[in-house]
Amino acid sequence: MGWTMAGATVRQRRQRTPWPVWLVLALSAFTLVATSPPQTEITEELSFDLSLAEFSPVEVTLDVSGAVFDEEWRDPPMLRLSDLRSASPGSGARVRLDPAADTQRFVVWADDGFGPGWLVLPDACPDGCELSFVLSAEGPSTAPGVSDLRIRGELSARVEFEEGGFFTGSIPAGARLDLTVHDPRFRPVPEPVIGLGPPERVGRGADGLDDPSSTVRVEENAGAFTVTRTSDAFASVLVDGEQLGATATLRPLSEGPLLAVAQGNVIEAPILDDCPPWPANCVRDYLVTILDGAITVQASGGARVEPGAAGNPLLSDGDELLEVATGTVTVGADTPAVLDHRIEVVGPDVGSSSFAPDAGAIVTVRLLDDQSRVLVRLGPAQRVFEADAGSVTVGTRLPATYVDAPGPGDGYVAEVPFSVELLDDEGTAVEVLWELDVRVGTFGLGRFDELRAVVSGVGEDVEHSDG
Amino acid sequence: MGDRLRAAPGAVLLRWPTLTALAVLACNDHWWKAAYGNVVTGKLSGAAALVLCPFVAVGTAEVVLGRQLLQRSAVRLAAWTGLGAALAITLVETTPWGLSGYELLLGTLRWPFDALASLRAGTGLPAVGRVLQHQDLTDLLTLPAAALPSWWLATSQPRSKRRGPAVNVADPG
Repeated sequence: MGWTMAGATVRQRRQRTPWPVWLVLALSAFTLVATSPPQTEITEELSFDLSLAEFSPVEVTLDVSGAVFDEEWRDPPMLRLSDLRSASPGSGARVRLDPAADTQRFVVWADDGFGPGWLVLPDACPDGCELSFVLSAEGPSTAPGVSDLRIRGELSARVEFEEGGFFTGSIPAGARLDLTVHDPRFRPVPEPVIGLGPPERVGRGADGLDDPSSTVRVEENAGAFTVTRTSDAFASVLVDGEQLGATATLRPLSEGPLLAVAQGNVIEAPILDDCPPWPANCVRDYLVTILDGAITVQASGGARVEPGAAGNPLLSDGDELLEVATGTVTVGADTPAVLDHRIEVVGPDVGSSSFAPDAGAIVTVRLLDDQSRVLVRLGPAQRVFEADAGSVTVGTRLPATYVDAPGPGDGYVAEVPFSVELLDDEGTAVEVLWELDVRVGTFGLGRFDELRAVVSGVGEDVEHSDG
Repeated sequence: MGDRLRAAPGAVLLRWPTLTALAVLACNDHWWKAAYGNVVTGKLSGAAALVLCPFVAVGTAEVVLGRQLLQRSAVRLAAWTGLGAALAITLVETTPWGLSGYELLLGTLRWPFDALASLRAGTGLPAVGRVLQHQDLTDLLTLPAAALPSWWLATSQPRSKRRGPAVNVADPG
């Protein structure tokens, strides 16, 4: 480089850059680009290439080993899982993550980008662990002639840590979302519902109890919850086993910040002592609307409830439940120690997959034998139940598949396996009575009047009754 | 700092404002946030980055050119860089596409570092990902920090008026 100045050519020599400058420049570049923690390898793409009729469950392991947790918000430690989406927007294909049995306190699902969901890490996972999910995908349509329609799905999960509403944690490099295809077997569209009787139509009730002014208000009071009945329309509702009077105190749950739960005719609500300071996950005030067997839980007082939020995997804001079947199971010398059942639900054809009613099921088992232990499984959820504990309730969402075929059976079909296993039965015949209390509800758009559900199982051990 | 270093290209990176901003950014991101996480630490990194960026821009320009910039040029470059950084932060904090772009850009920029770390750990090359960023309008309170570098460059001891400290005068022709 040169130029003419006063008749001379002036050449500028390029100066050497001293090493301290290079050092500071490199450190600056590194520090600037590292100022935001990476989403790291939590974002993965899962490609489906399956016919709509053969979506298979996929095991997902979310490894958060070494994740950064802050002591102040460790109880309960929470993750936020968002950006779950299908790569086929508009098709109605849905990606759903259901937790494995050991992490059953949350459910995350997404429908074309819907989400996020909050995950409450299990207590045994304060310093990072692996969370297992079952990933399932559901196609929008299996109309005749298009059964070979293929779809590609994508799972993209962002995991964020939250502390009091401010994101300060991070997932260090090395965190990953491992996706492993598990048992990719052909899974046809469920056959028409078969059961121990014709599918029963369940309804909201014709006795006019769906008066919106008929509510039960649940308020926190000195660590307990007080229920105030504002209408006399709920004579059949029991709280904590007792007739609901003008006020009643709800029992706290020992499992943490759950929403109000329907267990038989008992309503339970949590004590939120360990509620995080940020109100996002702290429900201080419930408004519980009880219709004839249908329960709606709403948060009020400025709190909000995330759909699929931490806590109860079944109930969230606006959810309703209906009792659809009750039965008795007898395990004796002629019946196996493991009783396999199946809960099947047929929902209405609402005309658009965008308004798919989501369904869930709660099974309550009462063990009348006083010497046995049982393992109750409902889909991915399971509970071990001691005989002297009264009853056990297990809940899960129903993995619905949309069927848009003409004729009977169109709409939503869901099935979930349900089993009861006698743990300490060593071949000796034990007379045990089980009571199945199956409840099915819709989430979001409710169309109870067209929802049908049956419970089928081994032999004649289930009696279906009207809901 | 010796005269030779002071006159070297990129010497602005060795001045106390740059080193202070760098130290604050590194300490806050990797130490203070975890130890004393509060509102102050939540804003400190943003402010430090806004201070650091213009200095890095001036230093990088000088290293590339192989000479120091004139003071006026350095002030201008720092001012434009600070303005651009402030505008970028505003878009990141207020628009979804700004946030997404930032996450993708920073994720891409940090990939070489992540790749080195992964190779060292023997885990193979990672995919280019995004960084984790959350919109917080109160972060906009840190924007005035973007003006500090240009102000400091304009008011500090005048730099060389020459185009370069070392000039060879050769015979014509």
